Amino acid sequence: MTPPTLHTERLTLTALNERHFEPMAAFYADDRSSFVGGPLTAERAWRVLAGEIGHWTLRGYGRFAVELTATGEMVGLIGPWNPHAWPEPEIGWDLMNGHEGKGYATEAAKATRDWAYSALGWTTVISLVAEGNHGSRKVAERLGCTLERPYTHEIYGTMNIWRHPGPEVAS
Amino acid sequence: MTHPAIITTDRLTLRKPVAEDVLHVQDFYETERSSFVGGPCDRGQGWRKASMFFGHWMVRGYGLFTVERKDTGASIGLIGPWYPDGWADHEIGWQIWRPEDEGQGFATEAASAARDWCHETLGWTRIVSYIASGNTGSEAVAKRLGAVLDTNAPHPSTGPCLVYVHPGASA
Repeated sequence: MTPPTLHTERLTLTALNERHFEPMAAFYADDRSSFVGGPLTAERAWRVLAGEIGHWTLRGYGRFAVELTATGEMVGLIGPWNPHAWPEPEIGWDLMNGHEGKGYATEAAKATRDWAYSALGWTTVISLVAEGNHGSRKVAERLGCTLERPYTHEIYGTMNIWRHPGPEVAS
Repeated sequence: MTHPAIITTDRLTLRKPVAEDVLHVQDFYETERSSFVGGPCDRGQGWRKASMFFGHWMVRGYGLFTVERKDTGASIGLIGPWYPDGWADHEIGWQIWRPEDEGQGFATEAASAARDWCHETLGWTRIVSYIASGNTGSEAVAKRLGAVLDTNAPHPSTGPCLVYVHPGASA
């Protein structure tokens, strides 16, 4: 499936492609990526980008490149995420370097949650937040999520499952 | 299920990967036979490898083809152009998923057709195949394709390996 383009007040959510490699490589080169499997070399980051796009092939949905509508700059990688053996479908968010603290993750995650409920027909959704990732925890709280339980993945470590409000409440 | 062929040979069709192919990739990567191509690994990591293989298509506009036998319709492996970030040269790669499909020249037949396609459609001039030391089966395929070991060629970012250089477009 070809990803749709979603619009919010400040952001455009669109299909990932090669032009997003540079900001993703910079994100994965930084310690900020330690909560999501980094830091990684540029070569490994390229494979992560390809994997994010391939998720759309395998599932028919995946995460979006989030760009500032005004400038086209990539500020995040956000949306539905459900690789093999994941505890449940989730909404995931990674903010690219220098774009924290402006509400972009909340704004984009909410748009992709609405899309998952309306276009994909999801009736519930979680977000996994790594232990100690306070910034991400705040986003979950702003999105109205409630802390449910810890979950340990053999590679990605211990995370907390946050449950989003359902379709009837969230929209 | 049938999907449109991009390349056809005497016994095989080569097509773009689809979501169902992930099960074969997961099966293959659970076995020791995948040890020369980044395995073995569990089904979760196998899923991520498949998503990365398939996403390569969207990032580059080409990628590994899924190879099907005409006689049985079975999908037997991934073969074709491969050029992730960090690769020193354009590569033709191959993996045959099950032992019963080995030893019949399928890898050679598919890789030869894919190589012609890379010359003609992608305009590639220099093409290599990176082969793990000790993978004698794969080395035999490279030699049957007329590729020659080049001990001076640069290695890919994943580390030292045998670099076979394919003959040019006119060969």
